[in-house]
Amino acid sequence: MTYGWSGKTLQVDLSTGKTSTAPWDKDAKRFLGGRGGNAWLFWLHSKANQSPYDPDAPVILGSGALAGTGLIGTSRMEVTVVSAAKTESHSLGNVGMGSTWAPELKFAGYDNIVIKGRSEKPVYLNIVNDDVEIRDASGVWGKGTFDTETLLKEEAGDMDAQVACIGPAGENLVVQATVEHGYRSGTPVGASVGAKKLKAVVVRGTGAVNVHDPDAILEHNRRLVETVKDTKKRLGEAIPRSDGKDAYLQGFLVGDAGVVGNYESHAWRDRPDVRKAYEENYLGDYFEKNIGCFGCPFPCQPLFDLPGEGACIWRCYPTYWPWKLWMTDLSAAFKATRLMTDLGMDNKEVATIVSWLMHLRDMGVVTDEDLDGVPFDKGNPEPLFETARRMAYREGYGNALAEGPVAYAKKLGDKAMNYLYHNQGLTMRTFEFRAEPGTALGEAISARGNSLRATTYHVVLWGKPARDDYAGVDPREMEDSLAWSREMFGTEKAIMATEYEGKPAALIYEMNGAAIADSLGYCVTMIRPGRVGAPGSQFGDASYQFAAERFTAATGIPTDEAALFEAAERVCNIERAIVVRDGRTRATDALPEFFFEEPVPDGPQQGKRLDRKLFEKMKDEYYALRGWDRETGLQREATLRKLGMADVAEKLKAAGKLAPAGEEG
Amino acid sequence: MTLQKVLQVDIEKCVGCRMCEVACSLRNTGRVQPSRSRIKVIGYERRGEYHNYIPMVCQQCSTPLCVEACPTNALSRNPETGAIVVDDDACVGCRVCAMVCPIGGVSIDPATDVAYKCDLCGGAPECVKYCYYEALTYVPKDRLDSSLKRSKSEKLSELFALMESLR
Repeated sequence: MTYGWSGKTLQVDLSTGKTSTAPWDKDAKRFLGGRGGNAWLFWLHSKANQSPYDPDAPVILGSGALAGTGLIGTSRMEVTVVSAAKTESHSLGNVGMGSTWAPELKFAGYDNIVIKGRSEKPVYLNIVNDDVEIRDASGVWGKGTFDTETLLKEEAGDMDAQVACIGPAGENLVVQATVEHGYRSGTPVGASVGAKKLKAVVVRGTGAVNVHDPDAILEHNRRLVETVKDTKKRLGEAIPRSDGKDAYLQGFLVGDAGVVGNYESHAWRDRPDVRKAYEENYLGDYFEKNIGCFGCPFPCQPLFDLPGEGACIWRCYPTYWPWKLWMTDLSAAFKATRLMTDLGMDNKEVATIVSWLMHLRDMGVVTDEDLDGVPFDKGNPEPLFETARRMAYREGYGNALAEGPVAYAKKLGDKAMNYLYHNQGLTMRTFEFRAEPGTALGEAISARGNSLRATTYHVVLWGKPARDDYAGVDPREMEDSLAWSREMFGTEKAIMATEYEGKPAALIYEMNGAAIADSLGYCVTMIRPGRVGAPGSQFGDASYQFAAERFTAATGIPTDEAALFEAAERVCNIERAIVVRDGRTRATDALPEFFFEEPVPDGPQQGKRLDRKLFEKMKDEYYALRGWDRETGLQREATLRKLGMADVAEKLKAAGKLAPAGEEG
Repeated sequence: MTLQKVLQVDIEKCVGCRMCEVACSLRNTGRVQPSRSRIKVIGYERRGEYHNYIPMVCQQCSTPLCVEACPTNALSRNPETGAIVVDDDACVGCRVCAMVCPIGGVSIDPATDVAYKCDLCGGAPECVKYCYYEALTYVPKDRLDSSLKRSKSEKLSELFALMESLR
């Protein structure tokens, strides 16, 4: 009997209308599931340098290995595509989402879905256990994601059906388009789905997920609930956002998160009038309640309901960009977030583009005429709404922007390009890379790019100059955190935001932790290992051991911390193999010149910029620790063999993308 | 004999996580299968508008219509726990219990074709243990009233605090 996994991949060809299944076998399970499993399927089903609009390009939807096993926090799904948003490299694009779709797919009997081909007419995929049907989507084509979900549930006649869908932005091949489920979407993957004329994947499952040790699962869950209750007693409110207060907004108000404008300022929030505006405009009055994911009793997504507007989640991502637009009107930012969730587009990409345009207009690089007369004054929310709408429906200047900001910058000229800070076409948003070397390294090196997944927490949380109250960490636990760093990485600098020393090792630990969580389908706040005093520490032991014990209870496969760390290495290596196959090298593991040249203009980080020599030295160390070639950034055969990935090494070798044999190190 | 307890539902506290369904199916079937859970969270959701949830589970009625209606006497009350329990051998799967139940507390198990319903896990309901926000509680009968009243009074107490602060 298969435990944990369903043991099956659903394969759909939209060109022929044929569906079939394939076993989720030993080779595949090397990469667990979720993000890693999707990467494996992507490796199998995609071609080198494939266009996102190639009908054969795969769209892969997967559930985490532990999704549906009843373990608290294992609800996550993953969507993997040839990225349209990474306009300069394409290759791997992925996004993880919580809520209920992933467990529902397991109950329907599948670990993941590979969709290839392209339909002539708009369709959606309807899955009810073994019944898989490609249905006409003309009734919902053109609709926003909110209505689409409701209408498709009604069409299914089953309000328990789970819907992942695109909005008008995805239909219109806007590169910033998302796939939406449960308000959770982030990084854009929607255009690749729209290109297939695929509106939605609707899943309903009534089957069972087998687990090896049901009593152990219940016991783990019981203990976790007790831990959270204890933490709450010990530290006060355990879930940072349970009152509708948003940790990230708090981070802005009192801490050190975020840059202002198009990397134009850091000091703006220190102005008393701004602080007051944020505090007074905060949407606390409109907080309804927290909602969350399937099988997690600690919901963390605050739902706000603005009168006359409607409800939406107002969480970390939407709250960190208003100041990029110099905005103090948070209700406008909330409305824009809701609008873009409904249009199915990434509000961070759009907001960053608007921030860039405001900057360009300020300098006279674009004119009001270029922008159809929309007033791009700093702080004015109107251009955000107008730009989102025009991009989604490809009207006016929005049509060009929908091809990505790089294409638009090319039209405007060199100066516009110089002020566009992007990674492979994805905008760089809110981190101050100039002051945070670990964040910078993660951004440059992660397979997907634009990767919170790679760069959060240990490498950025501690040691910031402005950490005067709450910046996402609990200062009472700083000493424990530093002690942990000394033990793990030999220096506490490894987890201090502004230091270079020890960063590559800390970053790898962090990236691997994220890879494990994303591949098991685990909530990243729950098993991010070794995180002391940071969000998520209310869950107590969040170590790899925590994940290992639970993995064994669900699957029956004996495992430990070392084995999971190795699995994470495999996930990071299959992703590296994909992007290397598609052209990535050491030279393109890079960041815009800006972050090395222009110092932070003001605020507590004033004068800081990345040191190129130290940055390149971090890369040396990173490649060495990963077992990759220092000169080229390519993987070594021995490294892949050791990880049980000889098959991957063979294919890379055939493509001439393996590190040259010979000296190690 | 200790006083019987009641599985109390406070719908305002439910966050819709369905952990109760997971726990129920794991405990009763050894697998994770919400479709065979004895408790079911009904979602009233419209994305972009509202998300409300109501956990539905047998309330072990004082005058259980299911017991009265059952033509094969397959349903009876357990004197220890007060739960209405199913005699699988006697049940013929006629669904009359499901027809007469006022709250959908009993149904026919799709896997076994006999009636299935909450039996309070023999006096230690599994679902309650994971309900962090205490939408589900297991309360002695004689404190049921005060427990619910206390919970509902919380809003009023906030109002008093507000009035106090305005004084």
